[in-house]
Amino acid sequence: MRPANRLLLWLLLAPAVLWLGLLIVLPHLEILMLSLRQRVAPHEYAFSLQQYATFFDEPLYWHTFARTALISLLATLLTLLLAFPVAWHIAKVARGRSKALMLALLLLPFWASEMVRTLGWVILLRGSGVIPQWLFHLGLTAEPVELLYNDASILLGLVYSSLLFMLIPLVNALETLDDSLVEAAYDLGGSRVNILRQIILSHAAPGIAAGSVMVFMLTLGNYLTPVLLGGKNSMWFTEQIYTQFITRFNWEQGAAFALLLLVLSTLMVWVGLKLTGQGFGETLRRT
Amino acid sequence: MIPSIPQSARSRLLRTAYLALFFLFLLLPLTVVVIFAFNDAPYPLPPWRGFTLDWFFAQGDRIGLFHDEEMLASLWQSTRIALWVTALSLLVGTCNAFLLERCRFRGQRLLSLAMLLPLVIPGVILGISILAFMSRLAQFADDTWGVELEFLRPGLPLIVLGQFSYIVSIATLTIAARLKRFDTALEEAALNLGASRWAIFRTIILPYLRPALFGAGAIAFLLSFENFNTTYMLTGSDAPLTVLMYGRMKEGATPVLNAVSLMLMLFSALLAGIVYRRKPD
Amino acid sequence: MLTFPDLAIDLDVRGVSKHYRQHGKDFTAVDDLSLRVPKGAFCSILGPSGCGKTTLLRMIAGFIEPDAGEIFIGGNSMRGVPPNRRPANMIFQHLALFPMMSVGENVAYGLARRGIAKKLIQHQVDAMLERVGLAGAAVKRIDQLSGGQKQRAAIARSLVLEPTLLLLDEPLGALDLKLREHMKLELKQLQAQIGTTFVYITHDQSEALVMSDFIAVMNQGKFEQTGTPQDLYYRPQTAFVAGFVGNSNRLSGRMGAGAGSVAQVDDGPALFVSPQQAFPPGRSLALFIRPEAIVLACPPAPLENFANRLSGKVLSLFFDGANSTVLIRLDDSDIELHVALFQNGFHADIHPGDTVSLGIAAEHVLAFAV
Repeated sequence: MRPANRLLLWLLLAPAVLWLGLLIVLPHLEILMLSLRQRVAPHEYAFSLQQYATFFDEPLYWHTFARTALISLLATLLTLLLAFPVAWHIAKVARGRSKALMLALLLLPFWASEMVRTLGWVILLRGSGVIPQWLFHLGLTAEPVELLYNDASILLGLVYSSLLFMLIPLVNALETLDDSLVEAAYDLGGSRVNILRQIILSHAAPGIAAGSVMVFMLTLGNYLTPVLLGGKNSMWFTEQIYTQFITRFNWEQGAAFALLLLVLSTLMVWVGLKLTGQGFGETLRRT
Repeated sequence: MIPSIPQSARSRLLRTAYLALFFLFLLLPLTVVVIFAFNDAPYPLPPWRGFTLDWFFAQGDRIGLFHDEEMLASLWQSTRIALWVTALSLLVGTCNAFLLERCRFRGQRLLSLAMLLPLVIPGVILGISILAFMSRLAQFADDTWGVELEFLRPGLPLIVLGQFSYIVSIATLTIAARLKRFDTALEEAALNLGASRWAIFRTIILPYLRPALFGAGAIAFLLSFENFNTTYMLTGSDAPLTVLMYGRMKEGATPVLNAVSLMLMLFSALLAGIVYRRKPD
Repeated sequence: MLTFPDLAIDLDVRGVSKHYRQHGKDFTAVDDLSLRVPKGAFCSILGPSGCGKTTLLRMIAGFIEPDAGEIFIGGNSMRGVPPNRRPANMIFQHLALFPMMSVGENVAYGLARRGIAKKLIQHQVDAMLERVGLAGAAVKRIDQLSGGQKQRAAIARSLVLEPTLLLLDEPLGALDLKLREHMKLELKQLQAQIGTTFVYITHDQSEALVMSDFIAVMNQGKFEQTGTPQDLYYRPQTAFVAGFVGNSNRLSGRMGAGAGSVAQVDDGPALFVSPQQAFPPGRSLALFIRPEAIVLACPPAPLENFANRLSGKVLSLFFDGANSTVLIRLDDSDIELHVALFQNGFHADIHPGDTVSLGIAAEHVLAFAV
């Protein structure tokens, strides 16, 4: 390599190394260290697994953890089921203007911020909000019912926030499916169910994996939606992290929680990719 | 199924109904946000009490968006953050793209994977890890040299760094994807026609990357503007818009929130419109 | 090698080699090649894909540094001269027109890099576009041009720099057949008109034959033969050239023991071969007979003037206008020969199954040792 090229390489490498080193690697080492120490006296710390012990001893914490994981999984599954037919329609049926219009409509809520979307659901679901009032006026309920602050409202908000991240990889995957494969399978006597399973799903598997992984991660790390739509009952794990850091100022405990969440997130992503036989890099590049 | 495969009228009807419901579901929350920005009532809730522009312009009992000092300050704060994040992400993202697509060195594959990592780390964790690390640095500087490094404490610089830490990944992906499709014959042709390396970069590669830079810039700006998870942990005294809105929503929303939401949507739509109009080239 | 005593040499390649390592094996792409192209010539380098012709062209352009040997352009050594300083411009395989610029900006690109004043550039660009038949197209986008217009724009972009040498890397390959036929003639005319030295590489022998003043046939990193199109077609010097340039029936055989040049075709007849080269008896040979060198008599008739007289049966008829051929199986053997049908109406009623007589002059049976 010529010296000029070497210099250029180092110049290009510097920002990347600073970014990954100072903003990703070292900060995560920092919370790892934080999570493994305990204050024994003012300004004196010792190695300890106390934070992790607390997590397992206190049912509130690991219940919240498990609950967060389960609801996230459920939200991912629901999002996939809801999004697939729409993705199919956009990729394979809609043409020209109607296709462009649908894509634009899909993007619209996501160009608006999560705060705006959540505000919309609050207005719709609150006891004094739009939907309970309608139900009451239509005589379907004896009095306006509170639709907010329960698990269903959390799930609804999460699925709503996740749709785009599922739809885009699905549409991309389905668009590359050659129509004539479906026609050939049909021509050879394949039933609709069989075509869906053998041709369509196997072709779309990378897209499904990419979308699901993305949605699961975003849901797990979500804070606004569960807190604002679930209220006091939200019991979301990120809320615990914020509480430890901001309200209790117990950084050690918060760091331990953060690491646990990171491990769970990484593990689920890894399992998800293993199950569908996908690589990490290519999956992320898809989304 | 695809249109060329016969289908009963009933299943066609079912699908149309499903699509209609889906898009209703998608648009309903935004619609009510817009409608209640104009409701003449102190809360963004039914019943409809008549049309008003108070929540934009009032200056008295009701304070409209354009006279809400706190809200305007947070908007400005968010804008400043977003501009910084966009500029930094584009600069570093372009460097990264060249690093990944044009250089060959040991550990390159590993580096390209590492650049994707920030996307799989929950935003909350990015926020607190940066907060914790920077606090340690600040503490260290204070203890060792007795200097107070204000920029390492929660505030605009930390928010910018926190958001940048993952937005630059997206910028890198976008720019690298376009650079990958670049036909190197164009570069050779330019070289063959007598262009210097710098002239090639300026006249061929940069114009070629322009759509990706525009797209990545717009996305970086919007992601920064609406980020909450990372920002919340790193905010000092001057709250950016999302943090302020969050606080107000917990206190009980007023239609000013709807008004600012409407403005945000209009702005996003405008930005999106510009990006998509540029797409053809 | 051809010599051009009274002409200036625009391109002089002296003993150039290039080796690569591929999958742990050394591979010689260009093997000690020398080539001299005189001013104003249209020279083609013809060879199958992978023969090293692209490597050679890219070494001339300066994109690849040769391992050995030296290249002179216009009398100056190009050693250490980067591609952006060489007086050679290239037409790329897919043209590499800059899609983000208009046609005019494309043509102006090289001039602008030289720091020439805008007004002057404008003038030169317009003049060049007019010369290649693209007058008024300066403001068009590249994707608004047809395939042929793109060719001309790419040529204009290079020629406006008045290079000593224009290098063309199979630029017609991407065009459809009809346009390719047309562009062949156009390119030839353009070159004759402007007089710039062209070095054209291609795997298409028809392109090379139609356009070139002389051709170097390249195979496995070496030149098999250098000569005019007629030389290559009528007087090939190697089996490779005989097989690669034009269509031929290829037979394998052995040199006969008797006097005169008679070869025994494997499982077939004995043939008098062209006496230009002598082979020891028993030597394995590759024999080449062009379809148009075989004279057909139908119904069977004696062909007194031909050294080789054969008879056979028509297997099938491939009607293709002026290029029609018949496939004939020789009697008492499995040998099949393609024979050209001259469209003078004489053979209009030939049918599969007919018995015919064939006559081949000895000088049209070319023999090469294998």
